[in-house]
Amino acid sequence: MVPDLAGVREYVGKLAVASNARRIVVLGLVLARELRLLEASLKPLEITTKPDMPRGTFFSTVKAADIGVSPAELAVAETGTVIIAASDESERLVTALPKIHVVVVPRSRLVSSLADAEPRISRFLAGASRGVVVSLISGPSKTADIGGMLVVGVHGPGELHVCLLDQELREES
Amino acid sequence: MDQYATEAHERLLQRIRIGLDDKRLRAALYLGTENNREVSEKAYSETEDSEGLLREARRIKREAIARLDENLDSFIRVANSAGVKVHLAHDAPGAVGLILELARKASVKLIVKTKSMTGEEIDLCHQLERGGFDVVETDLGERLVQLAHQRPSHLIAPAIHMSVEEIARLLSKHGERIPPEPRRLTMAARDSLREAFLQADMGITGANFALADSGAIVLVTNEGNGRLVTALPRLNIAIVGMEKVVANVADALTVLQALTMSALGQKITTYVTLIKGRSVLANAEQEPEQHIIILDNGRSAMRADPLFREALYCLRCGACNDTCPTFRLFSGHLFGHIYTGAVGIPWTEYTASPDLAGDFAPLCISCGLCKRACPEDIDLPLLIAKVKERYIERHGQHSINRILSSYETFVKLASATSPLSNLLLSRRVFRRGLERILGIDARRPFPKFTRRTFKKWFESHESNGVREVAYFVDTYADLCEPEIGRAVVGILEANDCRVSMPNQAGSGMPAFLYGDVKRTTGSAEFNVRHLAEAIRAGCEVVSSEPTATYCLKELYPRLLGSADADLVAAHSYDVFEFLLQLQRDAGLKHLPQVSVGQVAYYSPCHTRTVYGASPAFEVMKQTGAEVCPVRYTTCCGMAGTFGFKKGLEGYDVSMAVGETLFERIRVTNADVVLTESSVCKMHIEHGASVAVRHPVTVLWDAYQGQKPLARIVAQEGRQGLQSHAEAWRYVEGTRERTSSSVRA
Repeated sequence: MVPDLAGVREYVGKLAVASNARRIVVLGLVLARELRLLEASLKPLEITTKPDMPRGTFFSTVKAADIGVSPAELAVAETGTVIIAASDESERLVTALPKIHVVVVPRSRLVSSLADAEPRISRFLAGASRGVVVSLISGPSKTADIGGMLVVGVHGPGELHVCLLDQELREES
Repeated sequence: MDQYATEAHERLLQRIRIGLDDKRLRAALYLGTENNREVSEKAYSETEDSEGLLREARRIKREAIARLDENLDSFIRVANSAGVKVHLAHDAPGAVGLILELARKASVKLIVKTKSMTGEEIDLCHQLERGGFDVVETDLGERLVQLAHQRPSHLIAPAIHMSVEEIARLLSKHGERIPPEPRRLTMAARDSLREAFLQADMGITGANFALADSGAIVLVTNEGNGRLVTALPRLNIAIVGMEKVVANVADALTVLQALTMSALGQKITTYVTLIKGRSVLANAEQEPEQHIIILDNGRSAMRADPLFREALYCLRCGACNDTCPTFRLFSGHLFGHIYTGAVGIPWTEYTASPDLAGDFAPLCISCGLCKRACPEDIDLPLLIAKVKERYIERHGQHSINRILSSYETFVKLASATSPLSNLLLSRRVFRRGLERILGIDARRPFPKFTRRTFKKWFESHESNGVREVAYFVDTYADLCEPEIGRAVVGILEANDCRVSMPNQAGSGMPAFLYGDVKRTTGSAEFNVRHLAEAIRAGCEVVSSEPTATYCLKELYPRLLGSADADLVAAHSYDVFEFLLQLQRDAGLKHLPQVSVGQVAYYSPCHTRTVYGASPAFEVMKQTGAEVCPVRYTTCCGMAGTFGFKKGLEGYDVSMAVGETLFERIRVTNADVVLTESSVCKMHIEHGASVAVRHPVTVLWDAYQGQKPLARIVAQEGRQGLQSHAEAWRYVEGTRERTSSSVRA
């Protein structure tokens, strides 16, 4: 729970220090602008976002990133789920390739159950004439295939952090 | 039995021998399956209105299969319009041919794959490798199985049979030595698989759902490999079983919760990914391409069969694998073809071959627990009995099975000729002869038969009371332990019931186990006819044998499909359920205090199948008796007459299944175990060397003011019982467990 974007910055900053992160890739200009303020204080931390560079280059920075930060469309209280919709795989990979994934979602987008989230999910699917992927994410990537012991971070992020934001997160168009 | 069946039987025995010798496998399987059941049962008990969730999940799948044609049409239309190419494959070679052609046309070199039962069904990985492609399984368990050149042994935990040491050796083969530590091993696998994801030019997935209204597919995983397989490679193929289409997101989300709760006790898996069409690729130079292959491969035939249609409701949660007593010994390698465990039998019948299904179907001992565990309430025991019946029609019946199918006739004879029969049956020489000639294991004690049957006693008994109750006694309480029947009658009369005995036969269950469905149906018709008559005359039906209750309430209506059978099912009660019902209706005059010290209680599989929580245990608790429940998430192992069969065919397997239960009972130090089932009684008395009584006889003693059990349980027993409760709450503590993904 964070009051504002500065709170998100502080949280991600601490996380970067604790995990010794060098590269953070961010989705959304508002978030990126805020987090970029970390670069000065936490050298040599690099913060990148999609509009900064050509597609191919962005993909390389996603692959190399230690932390991925993304907004979410919805959060579901009952199951601890965040819901992210993307029509661009480079965006989905921000939430899938790095070892740490930070999700920022305004508190106004918190619903109580999956059933409450369903109409929005259906709209994302119906609204896309070509491709769209709606991801329901409810924790770190995990497996128990070896000896029945739980291990996190098998293919995707081993840590999932959700910042519930006390303000709206509007992108300027 | 013809040549084919004789050889198949030999092969089966051979594999049972190997399975029984593999103690390490048994330990690994036991931990995995018991834990899956524990966490799943816990999750359901903690969920508000879990019954409502299951009801919805059942309605949705039934409706989806009923409307399959229109749902499929809609799915194909919408997916096509989103740029996806949808293909229909009639059978496995058709699907494989399509995929090979697509891969060749795109000059594919490296393929990454998520685990998919539908993919296993068409042997996709091997076929692609044979076609010259490099294929990497990306689900961790599946990758391990691939590296070991094995096949998955469980529907959701493919490497459940492998030990950590084995896995360390496997992953260390081509590089540095990795210590046998799950975390280190998993991270090593992450690094090597990450390379594969980034290099692959084709990704193959299954799908847990396909959505008719939006043309999307849904992938359910915990590891997150499905996300990378669908996001990175240029060319994507999803292979989707025809039965996976549901109407919309709402339906999919509901069924999904039943799936994850039954599989792993999770409210939801880490990742649920809904994919419509293909999004813009991260690598700007590439143009994405997606194909969806809808596979029939026997599903239409399954759907056309009024009985087997329900197998299509399967969600692949694996609960029927986990709860199965014999699956726990042998794993899906022995108990399964591609689809494993109970549901693997009907699925093999239709997607592979009826003979393959019939070959391993004898491993099902009809305990019925899979039906209870199944979130979709698929009547697996019935489907399996039909598979056995068809096999027998093709290949003939095994002689020992024919004999045991006639068990009810046999015990009548033993009763009529007692005590001579008892004398003979206790003689080693005679038993060795029986073993050699009939195939009945000489080590298995027979119950004592009596000429003074319950029915004879009841003929001269006059019953008085206000409520009319018809008692269904079944064979054991009639011919071996009439005290049970007398206790039932006594307790009912003490509560103002007038007890009658309508004309009745045995339940017919022994024949069902061996696929003689016709004989069981005959018993069902006879019993239903007479009991329905009694019910119409104002009676409620009460039975004291859990197997009989299971037949009256669940099996007969399915076998007969008649209004009378439904009537009987609606008016039949286990005797303890009936007492609880009387209590609710304020018709229970009194329950005596039972002070028996501490005793153990084991709930028989058929009680659990019908009721879940045991009514007998509930009543005993109310009497003040300190009864310690012995928890066991599978069956004791004798399941009817199975444990009578010679050696590997029955006795040895039943003893191996019961091993852990016997141990749990032994550490209680209880001298008396209570259980309602005559079969469990015989098996536990033999296996755990402890006296077993039907709780109704203990209750009747209390009604009569006797306390015969009090002296039996010594002070040491009490202490033992406490440590037992601690020791066995979970076998090895409550390690957090999850499996990596739910198979598509």
